[in-house]
Amino acid sequence: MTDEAKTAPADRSLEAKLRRAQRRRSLNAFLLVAPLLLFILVVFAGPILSLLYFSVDDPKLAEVMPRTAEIVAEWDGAELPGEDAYATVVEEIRAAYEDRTVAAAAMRLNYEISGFRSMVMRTGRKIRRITGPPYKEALIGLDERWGDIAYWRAIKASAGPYTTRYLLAAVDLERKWDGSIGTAPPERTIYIDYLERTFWISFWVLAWCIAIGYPMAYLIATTGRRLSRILLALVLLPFWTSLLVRTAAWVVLLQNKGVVNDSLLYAGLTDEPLTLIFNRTGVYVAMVHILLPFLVLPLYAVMRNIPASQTRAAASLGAKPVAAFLSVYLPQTLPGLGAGCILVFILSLGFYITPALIGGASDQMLSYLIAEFATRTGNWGMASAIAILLLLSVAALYPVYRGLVRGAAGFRFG
Amino acid sequence: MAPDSEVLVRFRDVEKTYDGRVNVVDRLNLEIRRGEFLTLLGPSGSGKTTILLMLAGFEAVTAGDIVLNDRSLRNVPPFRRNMGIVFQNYALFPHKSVFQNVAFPLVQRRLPKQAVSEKVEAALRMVDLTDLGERRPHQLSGGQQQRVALARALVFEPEIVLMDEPLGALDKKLREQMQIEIKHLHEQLGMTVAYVTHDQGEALTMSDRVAIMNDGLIQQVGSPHEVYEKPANAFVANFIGENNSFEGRIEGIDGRDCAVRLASGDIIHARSAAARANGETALLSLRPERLVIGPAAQGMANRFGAQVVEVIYFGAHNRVRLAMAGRDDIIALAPAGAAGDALAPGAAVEIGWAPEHCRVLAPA
Ligand SMILES: Nc1ncnc2c1ncn2[C@@H]1O[C@H](COP(=O)(O)OP(=O)(O)OP(=O)(O)O)[C@@H](O)[C@H]1O
Ligand SMILES: [Mg+2]
Repeated sequence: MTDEAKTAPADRSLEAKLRRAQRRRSLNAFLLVAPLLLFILVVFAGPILSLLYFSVDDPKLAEVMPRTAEIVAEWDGAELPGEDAYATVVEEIRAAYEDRTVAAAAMRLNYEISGFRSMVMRTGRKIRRITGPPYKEALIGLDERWGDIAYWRAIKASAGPYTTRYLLAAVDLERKWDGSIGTAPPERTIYIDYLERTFWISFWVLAWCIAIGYPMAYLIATTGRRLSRILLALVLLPFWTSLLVRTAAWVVLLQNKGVVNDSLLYAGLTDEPLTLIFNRTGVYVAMVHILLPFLVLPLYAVMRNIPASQTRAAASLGAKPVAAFLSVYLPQTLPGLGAGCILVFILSLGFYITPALIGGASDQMLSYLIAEFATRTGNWGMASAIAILLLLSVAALYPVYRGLVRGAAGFRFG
Repeated sequence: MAPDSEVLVRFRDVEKTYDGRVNVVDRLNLEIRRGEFLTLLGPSGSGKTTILLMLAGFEAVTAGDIVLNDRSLRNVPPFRRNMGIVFQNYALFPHKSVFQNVAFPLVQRRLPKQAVSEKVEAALRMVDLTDLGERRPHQLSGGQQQRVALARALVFEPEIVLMDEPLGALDKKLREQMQIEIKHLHEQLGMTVAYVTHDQGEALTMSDRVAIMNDGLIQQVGSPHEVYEKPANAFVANFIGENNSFEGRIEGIDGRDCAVRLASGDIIHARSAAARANGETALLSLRPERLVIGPAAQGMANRFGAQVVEVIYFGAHNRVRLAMAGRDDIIALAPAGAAGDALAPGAAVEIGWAPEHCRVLAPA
């Protein structure tokens, strides 16, 4: 037998053994994490799924006026519907008005055309005056807008039970009566603006966090024990107070008669108080302060494990300080920097309290809209749709993070 | 002192203190000759690493000066010193492949790509790692990492290579193998090596000269043979190899031969390097392998009756502990076989040694 002939089958059986061992290992690993997986499914995937559901769920009109919903669903929307549609609407508004359920449907219709709500409520109040056919003339007689096809199309769009209007609206689009998708009317195209602003603010917060946090982490990781412990405590201190308290503290500090302005005035650096609050500057200052630890901590963890001999080795091999930093130190900190950046950026995408308290009207972010829709107007569809928009933008960042970590490091990480 | 043309590095009255109170390196006057393999040997904390760090430019010199090729290094930053350094933990760049690690110093020197890859290949071939260029350092064994560090420190042909306990992390077998390889590389390439270790065996086998440090002070500089056979003081005698030391008073002098009376009353004939006077106290040093046991001791100038206390078997030899002159800590190395094997604890034996093998050490 030659050597080759001997080794080939042996190799194959070895390979099979390796595969078997690996399979066993992954099975064990799976069983180990199974409870956690279940937990994540329930508390993480659950809310997201319900979010998805709320953003397309549209039952209101169909619940209150089921037959109207059926009729308009079949109507082609080209010209005003016929007498039977009018008759059904009169009948169902009458019934709903008596049951006091008409408001919910009116509210839903108002999302389509503002003023529709009061129109339906008024129709309900006066519906007693309509005693018999022809209902079409009678209804138009009550309010001539019932003769406007736009209002009928609005009813058709609200017929449910599912709708894409919220999701489309969240990206400044709407579905026209003929089913085509186009840009929403200007008074409703605010969401992309908000999205851009949210990214823009997050981007600058991240940039400032890196500019301040990287040197800070470096200092903490490389300086003597005592100083490093003090600095670390200072970075961690904000973690021990609530977000709201910290934000409120910044309001106190930054206001026109606050500590910052008083000191500047006293030092003669300005003649009149600077506007530091209710504008973008204040938002940046407070957000950077709040988010800085999220960048510093992962960076510090990575930097602490880079021995001084690394930069020394680079220097001894002829690398000038800048070259040594760029080609030896920085790449080794990228996993930490990537983790920190992604944390800071994602957290700042979702910021609500801080811009709401410190920012002006033009400094609000997407979360502000979500809160508005959810708590003020009770429009859960819109709130969910914007939340999904936010979620998708975050998800889109994941590959960026992966690329950053893998491209740079690919070591000590698997 | 060697002529200036032969000296590559000269430490002139160098002192170093970290805390402003204690000098961890004191009155250091040392020269490293072109092409030699100089080892700094000393116990932990004696300042060996500090000396290398000052030479490499990572620690400032508190007082004095270091001169390289007749130029003071005072204002030369580390990246211009052109010294290859092998760190104790290797300090390989974990995010770079073996090839990139070795290429690093060449890339910093802006060599053309072609030249870089030729030199890197040659360096990897030199340390026997030709096929591992694409691996990352963490995919290598300790010995292989050590070789990469070596290749990286040598590839840009520095005038001097500094190594700080480069083999400390390896197991005994591998360490011995690497000692030989490093020694061969030094012979082939002819670069100057400044080597730090606290392993005396390593220092003796590898070096052209050994500088023995203690508490920041150089105790002795000399060839391995010199520092072993002619230790300058008690520290060197005890630190290098095993040593039997005796203390007594000089009672007779004939040139360099001294007769020294011990506290027990016994007289030992020994030889001194320096001139000594009658009545001075003297410290004697006797290497265990120079002490003979049994009939061979007959006719030697120093001859005593002793009792065997303990015999430890070492394969090639036996390590015998003896009681004599009121002490029981006299060590002898007896070759295996012959008389050595017959020794048993409690046996009365005759021991002896020649005066020229027993040194009177210089007073501290
Ligand atoms: N950065 C430092 N700050 C303060 N003291 C230091 C520093 N580095 C070393 N020392 C002190 O200087 C003395 C000499 O240290 P050095 O590292 O040179 O010893 P060494 O001979 O290399 O020892 P080892 O064999 O353990 O490596 C020690 O007492 C050590 O505590
Ligand atoms: Mg050391």
